[in-house]
Amino acid sequence: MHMKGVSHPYKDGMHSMITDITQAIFAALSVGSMYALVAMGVCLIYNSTNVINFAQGEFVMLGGMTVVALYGEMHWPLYFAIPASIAITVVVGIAMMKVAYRPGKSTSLISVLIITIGASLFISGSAVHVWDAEIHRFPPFSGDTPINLLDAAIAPQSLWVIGITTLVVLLLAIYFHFTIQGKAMRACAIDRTGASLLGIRVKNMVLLSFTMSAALGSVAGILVTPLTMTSASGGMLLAIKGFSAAMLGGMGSIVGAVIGGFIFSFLESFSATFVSSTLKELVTFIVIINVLLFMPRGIMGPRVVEGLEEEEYLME
Amino acid sequence: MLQLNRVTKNFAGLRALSNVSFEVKEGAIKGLIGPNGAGKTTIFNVITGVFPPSEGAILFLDKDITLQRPKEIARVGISRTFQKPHLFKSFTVWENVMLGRHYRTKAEFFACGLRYPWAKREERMIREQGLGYLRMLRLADKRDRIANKLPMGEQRYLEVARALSTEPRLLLLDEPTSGLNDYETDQFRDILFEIRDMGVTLLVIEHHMKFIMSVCEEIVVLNFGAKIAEGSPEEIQHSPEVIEAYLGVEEEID
Amino acid sequence: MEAVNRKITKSASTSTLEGLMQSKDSSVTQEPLDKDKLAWVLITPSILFLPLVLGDGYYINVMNFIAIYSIVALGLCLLLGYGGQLSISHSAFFAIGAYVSPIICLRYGLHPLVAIVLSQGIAAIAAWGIGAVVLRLKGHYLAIATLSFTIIIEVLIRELDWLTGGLEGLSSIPPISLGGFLIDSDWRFYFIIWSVVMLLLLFGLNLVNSRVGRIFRAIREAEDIASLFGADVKKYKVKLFILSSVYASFAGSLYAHYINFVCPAAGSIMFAIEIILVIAIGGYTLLWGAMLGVAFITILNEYLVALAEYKRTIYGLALILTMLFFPNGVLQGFKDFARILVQSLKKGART
Repeated sequence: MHMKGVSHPYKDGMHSMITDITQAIFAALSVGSMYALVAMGVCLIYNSTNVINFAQGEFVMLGGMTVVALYGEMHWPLYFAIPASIAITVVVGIAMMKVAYRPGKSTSLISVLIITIGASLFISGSAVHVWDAEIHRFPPFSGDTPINLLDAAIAPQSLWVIGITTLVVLLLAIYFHFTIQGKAMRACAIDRTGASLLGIRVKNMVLLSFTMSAALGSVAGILVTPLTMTSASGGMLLAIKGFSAAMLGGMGSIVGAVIGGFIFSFLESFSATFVSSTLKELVTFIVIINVLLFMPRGIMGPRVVEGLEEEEYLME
Repeated sequence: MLQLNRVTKNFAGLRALSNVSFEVKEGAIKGLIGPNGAGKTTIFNVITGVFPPSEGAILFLDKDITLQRPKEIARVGISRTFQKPHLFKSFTVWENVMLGRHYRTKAEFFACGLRYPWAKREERMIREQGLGYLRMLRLADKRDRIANKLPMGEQRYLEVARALSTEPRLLLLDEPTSGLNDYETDQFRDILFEIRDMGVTLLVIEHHMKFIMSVCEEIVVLNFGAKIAEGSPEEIQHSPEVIEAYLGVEEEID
Repeated sequence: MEAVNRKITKSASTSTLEGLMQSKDSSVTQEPLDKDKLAWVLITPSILFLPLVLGDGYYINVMNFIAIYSIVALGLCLLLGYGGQLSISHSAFFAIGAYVSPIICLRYGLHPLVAIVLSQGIAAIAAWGIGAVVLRLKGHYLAIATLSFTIIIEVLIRELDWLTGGLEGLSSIPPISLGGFLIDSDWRFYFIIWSVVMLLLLFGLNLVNSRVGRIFRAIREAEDIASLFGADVKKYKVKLFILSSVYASFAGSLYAHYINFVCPAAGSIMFAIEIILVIAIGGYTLLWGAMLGVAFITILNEYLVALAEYKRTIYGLALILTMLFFPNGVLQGFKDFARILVQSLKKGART
């Protein structure tokens, strides 16, 4: 059986392998940052609404495409284009929330899932009209010249991606653990009814979670588009990877989402380098299925397990 | 028929049951009473395998069923109802009872999909038997209503009908008259006797004292997870331990 | 001793039951007239006579595609609507059927009918393998796991191009032949496919109102309670999954031998979503939901050819609106609306 794209890392010896590994690591870190941001966004919305947002990938796409339009084509300066892009994505995110999340109405899991799929299609379909169906890119923040590290060509954009993502994760960590709002959000995630009894406005928390989710998604898109390019229809697959990563890390845990995102990207990156770049998705999805089976709670899984009906029996 | 031997259940520091032993003889209607929190539902849970006892053994028809899970218990011939009815809400009343017949019937995918003659006959039997159980529980005229739309009392009746349709040897009823008015309670008494006449043994948890005293031949009393008395209704009513346990409850004991 | 006791109990119970039953007229227990089955009886000859009205050409072609997609929709309807399993793998099995059968034909020279039968067997085994492993998951987790499987199949189809023809697909797939009689025209295929559809529909209708149907509806509603009534829940879920997947793969095989060509779009996620849209719009019932839904979508697709660019957007919008305003399907929504309308008119008339 002949597989396309198999690299022969050992042909040129150890040196070449180190180069490949370095390359793979940086690719994994960059893409992993994107996955981590997407997974965090999925997690936030899941925590506040128990909904898995299939449209999360569209936020990434919107972030990237908007900057392509504003900075790449209309030549706005970056420091205008980026905030504008985030703002636009957030607006879309809030619109989505208004449509998809009906707290009063009892909507079944299937319905909600389908609504988010529909939203994803609608957004990406519309994007094709606003822009087009082609692949786009805009120039990286600090130029194209690759940095030479151990003979591997590292794009400077990678460092931006990794750096800013780390910053974002730290800021979120501080927010969730040290501010009242952040703690309120965590309370909502653990027990919505209890939180609302304490006076926390759940509706506001939901709004906040959609806002943050959209922002995270768009930041991911903006950071990564110079590296991996973007197109109007790439969102769905990214979303699926995003929530697979979130599940890997334990649905409901932000830290888990980050860890999951990186594990995912490392698996992909190393499969691409050492197995076959075209079959990398195969490897990762097989891993996902395994995780779902053997570690359904993920790595940092939630303490509350779904379906613990034993509790009901303990009346009396 | 059913024997509990020194059954104990601990929940991380809370002793829900301690050394409970009693027996239910075949064909009996036995009551299980006690103040709130005494552990009555826990007994049911342990018998039906929802969780295993920490110590002790449970024997049914001389076979050890201590460690069996709910699915297996159903197969062994014990059925149970819950304090809050766990009906199939989107099914009709009739369909709920028909589902109870699942164990005793055989038609599988191809037989049903292709409507083999024997499957058709079996389905007809399921319908007839289901209707029979509904009549017994005075629900036959409501058979096509959606289960969700029944008033609570009738939902309890339906749960009993469904449990009965599995043809159990032993039926565990958890507070079946809760929420029933006087007329319905009297009616239920008659129904219980009919069930017993069918050959089903009954173990009934109850709070309604008049009812339980008039229905059971023998009663077990629990308090704080331990058995404090066992005997005929008269003995129980005059037992000092029981009266003490129920201090503060209305004089319905008399 | 025990056996004797059992006998006594049994006859005691049946004698009381019989007593209860004799008091009423036994026609009560006859199965009520199944409206869906009646509809089936009326529709089937109409469908089979339709070609005489439509003549050859375009409309027959459209009807053929409606039939193929109906089979997939029926399978999904059984699994999702009645069984409650949130599985997104039907397009993967459609692709399995659509690829394995031609591959067997083209590579090993076997007769198309043999190839089709073999590929259903292979699909069933795949479904059994996946189902046994994945169906212990519920809700979102099941959706993601099955979606992962679908993506895996998509990738395999694209990448194993020595086997599947990659992006170019497989062509010159031989049409089905029944003892020398070649099914190579729209007309001939029409009768074959619609017979298959109506038979599979009948099977589904029978299933749903039977003992087995009740048990998987019970599993959908409350799995743990269902298991108390003797249902080996796992076994039923897997069997239903296999049934649903074989419906899809059968449709795929027939599709491949009809248009004599197959390409990766057969296993795409968009296709999976289209079928989900069908069920969402049509509703979760077999006859009116799956089949009407397919008819509606297929016809819509024909009109949307002109608006192909807008397809994604329109689908997205359709999904959202349907779920928001017609959670039980559009048809049911109209029925409910009509009922409310009638009730309020009655109230108005009384005052």
